[in-house]
Amino acid sequence: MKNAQNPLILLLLLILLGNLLDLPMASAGTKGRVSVTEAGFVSPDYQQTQRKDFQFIGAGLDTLTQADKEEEIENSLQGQIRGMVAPGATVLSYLNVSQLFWKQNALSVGRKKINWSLLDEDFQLGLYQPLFKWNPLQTESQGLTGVFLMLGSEPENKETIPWGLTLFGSPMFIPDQGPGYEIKDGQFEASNPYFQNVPKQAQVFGETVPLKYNVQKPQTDSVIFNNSFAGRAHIGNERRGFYGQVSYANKPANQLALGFDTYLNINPNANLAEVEILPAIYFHQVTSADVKWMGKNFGVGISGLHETPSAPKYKEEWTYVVYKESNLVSPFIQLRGYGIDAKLAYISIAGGESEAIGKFANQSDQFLPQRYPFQNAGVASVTYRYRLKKDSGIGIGTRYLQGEKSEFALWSSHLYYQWEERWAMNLQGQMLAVEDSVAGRKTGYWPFVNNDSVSMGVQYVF
Amino acid sequence: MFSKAQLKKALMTLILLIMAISMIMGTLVGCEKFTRAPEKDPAKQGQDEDTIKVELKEVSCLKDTPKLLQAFLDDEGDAKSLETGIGCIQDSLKAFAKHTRGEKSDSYSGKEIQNFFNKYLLKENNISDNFQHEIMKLKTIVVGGTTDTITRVELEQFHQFLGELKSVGEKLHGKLKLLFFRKKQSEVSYQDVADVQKAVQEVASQILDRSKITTSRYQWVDLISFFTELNAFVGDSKGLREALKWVPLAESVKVLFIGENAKLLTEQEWRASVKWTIDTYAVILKFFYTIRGSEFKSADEWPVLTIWLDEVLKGIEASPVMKEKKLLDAKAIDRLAEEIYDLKLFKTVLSLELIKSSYRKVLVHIFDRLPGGAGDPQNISGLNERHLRIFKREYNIWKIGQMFLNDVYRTHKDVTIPVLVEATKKFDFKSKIKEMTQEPLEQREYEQAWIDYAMSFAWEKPLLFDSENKLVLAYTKNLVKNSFSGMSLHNFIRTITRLLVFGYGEKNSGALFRNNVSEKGLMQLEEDFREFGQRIGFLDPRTENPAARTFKEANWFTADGNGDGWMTPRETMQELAALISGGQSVAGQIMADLENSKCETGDKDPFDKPIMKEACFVQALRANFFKYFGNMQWMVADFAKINKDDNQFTAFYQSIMAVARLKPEFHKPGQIEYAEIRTVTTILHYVETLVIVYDKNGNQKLDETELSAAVPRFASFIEQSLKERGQSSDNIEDIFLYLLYNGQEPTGYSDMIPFIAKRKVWGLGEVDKLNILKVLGAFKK
Repeated sequence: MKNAQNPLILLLLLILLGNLLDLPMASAGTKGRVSVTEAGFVSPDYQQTQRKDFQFIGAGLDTLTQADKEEEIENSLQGQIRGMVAPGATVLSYLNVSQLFWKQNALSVGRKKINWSLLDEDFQLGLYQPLFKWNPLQTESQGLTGVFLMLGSEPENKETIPWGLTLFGSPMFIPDQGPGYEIKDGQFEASNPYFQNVPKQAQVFGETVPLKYNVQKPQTDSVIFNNSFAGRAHIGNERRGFYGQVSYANKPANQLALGFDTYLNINPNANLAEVEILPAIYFHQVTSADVKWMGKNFGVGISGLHETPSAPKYKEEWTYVVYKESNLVSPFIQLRGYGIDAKLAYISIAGGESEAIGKFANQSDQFLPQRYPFQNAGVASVTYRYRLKKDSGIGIGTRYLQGEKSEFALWSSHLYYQWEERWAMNLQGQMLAVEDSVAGRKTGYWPFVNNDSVSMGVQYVF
Repeated sequence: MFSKAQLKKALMTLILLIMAISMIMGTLVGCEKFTRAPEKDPAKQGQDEDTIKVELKEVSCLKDTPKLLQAFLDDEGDAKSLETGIGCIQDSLKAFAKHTRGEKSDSYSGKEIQNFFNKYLLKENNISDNFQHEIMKLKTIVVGGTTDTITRVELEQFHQFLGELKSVGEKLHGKLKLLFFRKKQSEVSYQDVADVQKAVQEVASQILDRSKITTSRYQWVDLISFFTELNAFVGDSKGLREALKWVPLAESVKVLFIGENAKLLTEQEWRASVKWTIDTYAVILKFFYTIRGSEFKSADEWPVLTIWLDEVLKGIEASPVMKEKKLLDAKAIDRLAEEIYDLKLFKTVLSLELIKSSYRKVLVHIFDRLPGGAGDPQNISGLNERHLRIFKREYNIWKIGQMFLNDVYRTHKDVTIPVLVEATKKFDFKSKIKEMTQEPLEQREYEQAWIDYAMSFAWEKPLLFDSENKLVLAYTKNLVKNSFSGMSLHNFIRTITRLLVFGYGEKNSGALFRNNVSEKGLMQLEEDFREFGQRIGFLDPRTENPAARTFKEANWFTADGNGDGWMTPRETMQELAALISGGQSVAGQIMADLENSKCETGDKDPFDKPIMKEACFVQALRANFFKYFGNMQWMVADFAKINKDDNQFTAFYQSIMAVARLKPEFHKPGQIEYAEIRTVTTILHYVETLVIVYDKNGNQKLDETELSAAVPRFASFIEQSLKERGQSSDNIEDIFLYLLYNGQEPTGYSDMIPFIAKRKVWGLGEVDKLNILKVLGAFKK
């Protein structure tokens, strides 16, 4: 089975579709990019794939680079779309449509990112909005897909306290976008560094037999056509002074449940364990509140979130996980000014424990996913942008995320240098350390413990 | 040139670039925490991340299941062994259905099940292809279907069946050692076996209730195969091994009584066959535990044997083959004989071939009354209904006698002839006969047989036996206390006599005991059963014409012998009694004493008995005569007198050995054989019998008048002897008396005239036992 995409073709199709529908496309500030990137994994212990080096050819379209605020977005079709093709490793190719919506005043239709919760975004938990998890170590938010109604005070009226109300509704649901994978002869191929390797064999009563996987496709209706509702109310200016927001969502969780059923094929000619995997959705309710004060260069705030998940629906023979309610609290401080944007945040997660249900409940702890990639953790991030001249500039950034018990640490950095109007280069690196302990293995990063990598690319901007 | 601002910007850019690159490089290499591989969690040491370890607790008990089942079969586990073992199999079946699939989603093939158990569960006890096949066959009788596959529905039914098996199987707990022949004989009573039989019947019945055996094609051979494979599977269970030892026997019993290719179709047929099989198995168990090795010396022991024999007969009659074909196939009987012989259930000196030919001869020559060439034992089809009826009749007649004896000896301490005679009057033989047969003709025959038996106690000289099974020869019959074993022997002799007369008797006057055997008939019997007689040591192969000799002895030396040229049933019984008493009981006692006294020469006779030193025998005879011949008190008294005088003893010994001695070609000086010893003992029985019969005044001697009374029984012999010599047979009595008084035959008138004159004028006086012995020597010549 193959789950690779051809982003360039899709991108072209999308543009073509827009033209056909004769929708006005945003033009001012629209940027397109074509890039060539080389990425390599540097850890001597890296074993996720046979290859350690990959090349990518990418293309992207972004109409929202200039829009910092909602009111800066033009009434037109907007999008943030990026695609990448990896020659020789098609499973690594992707198309990331993080936003694609048509805006008409307060109404937007399509996929649109909203900052529903500060902590959700800071720690990339994907509670409100789905995540682009092509690289699970450096996830990105993607917008919810549906109809957005965004009401609020007049931005020009400086005398009144700014406020806003966002209402979202949708009859459809798009989950997290994970890494691609291949199944050949019932085995997951070790071709994508970011796809979590799964066991290849099972030991049954002391006998080792190969595992044969089959990912069942759930009925499209049962995943896509599920209602989502969300709302947000905020008051104040997020960039200066007091700011507060409360949000609520009732929708399918962006992370699909993965139930499995396995049985031993005892035919003498087979002698293998067959594993059926069935993704399924489960609903959750998310409630959050953020309070923040931002001075000229310094800010402080606290963000909280409560999630009430429900159980996915599986038949009796399936084994799956249900999660308990969780409360998340994240205080933070922020520094801003002189091109620097820095943030220091801590998150405490209470609850969210997983409980396996089904015939293999007792033996699936280590294989079934946790609700959160980590428990209590802190993150520090710094970005700096410096404009050299009108068409050139440099941007650097680094982010350090560490578990409270030092069970893991993820450090990523990037450099972006545009030396003239059309050409730019970028350099990225990521380092990950995860303890081989119960706590370390429970993090979502353990499968990628040796995925330390560096990538460098050249972009043509148009 | 560059402006100052431009230089500043360029410198700033350079610094930022260096910073950024340093930061990224720092990200990659600057922290040891990231570059070193994580230290392994000690708890995960040695684990392969690519392998899931699946452990199903519900089947982990399976490794102990063979041991539990073995413990149950060996009666070594507690009462929960079976429950635990089967419970585990049930759990495993559930887990099996839950966690496995075969090529087809709704069923498994036998091969798949075998593969699963062997590969994943049973490391030590593998299911062989054959055992798998047997399991699948067994499955068809439990849940139906085919022997190739088991569906999930059948699996569930099998699960339920196991649950029921668990509860019914517990009834056998503690009984399996007995069932598998592993208990000591002393630990098991007849009732114990009956209890086990009942429990097995209940279990079998419940299994039949729940099974689908009637719709299957399951056969006996399949069950045997299953147990054979089960034994191999559980690792050679002691219990099963013992049971399987009996399988060939059971197989031959099945072939004989159920048939080679018996097809059981209806539920009734199945139930009847299973019941019959269990009953037959119980009969074998009862033999093994309660009959085998018993000596039956007391009246309380005999009912066990008669009940057992009743069951055997009932089993034979009720067997499917007998009911359907009215015949038990001779080849199948041969096969059964072979299996019994191979298992060494009986100690026998007979060869297998002799046993097989002998039973055929009994059927043809005795049961079919076709002596000699009139019948062909090799071509008989088998034991038919008529044979069985005759056997049953004679068995029942014997049994009535034995029941009578059991009653008498249970209620009387000293059983004398008057006691027996009185008891016969009170014995309710009619009701017993009615219980045995409803046929009027048969009832009449049974009644006549009983009357004949009862009359035997009223004979003038009835057969009396002491506790050593020696024939008591006494003047007063009424004072002799008869032993139970002796009277049982008496009853047995009667049965043998009836069969002999039935097969070889003539002068058919209706009632069996009115028939007589001619000399020719007895010679035919000897010819027909010569090999058998020789192998059991009854006939000496060196003796010429033993039948004729026995015939004469029966006519001359038995209490009721009359020398009439026929062997009557009375004479036959008395002759057999004398032969057994003298030839077996007394001679056996002497042989045992000689062996204990180390009198063996080291040589063996044709019966494989040790040849003794004659001097040793003489010494033992003189020292222990009173012990050996305690059944003949007057003979003991006479011998005591003879024994005091060496010359008299020598004369006595020479006289008796003149009769008993083997032909010179078989005799070595200084040696004496068993054949000679038993002749000595038997002759002494004959002599004592003659004296007691004719010694009317009880003085231990025979006078002329008493001897004259004995003339008729010898008259025909003397007459024939004279005719052969061309002499006149007018004066037989004088010639007979001459013989007795002179110990030799008269040569002519020169001998006879003075003898007759002496008789007329002075009288002849008396002869003692020594004289009679001398006459016997003359008869031998």
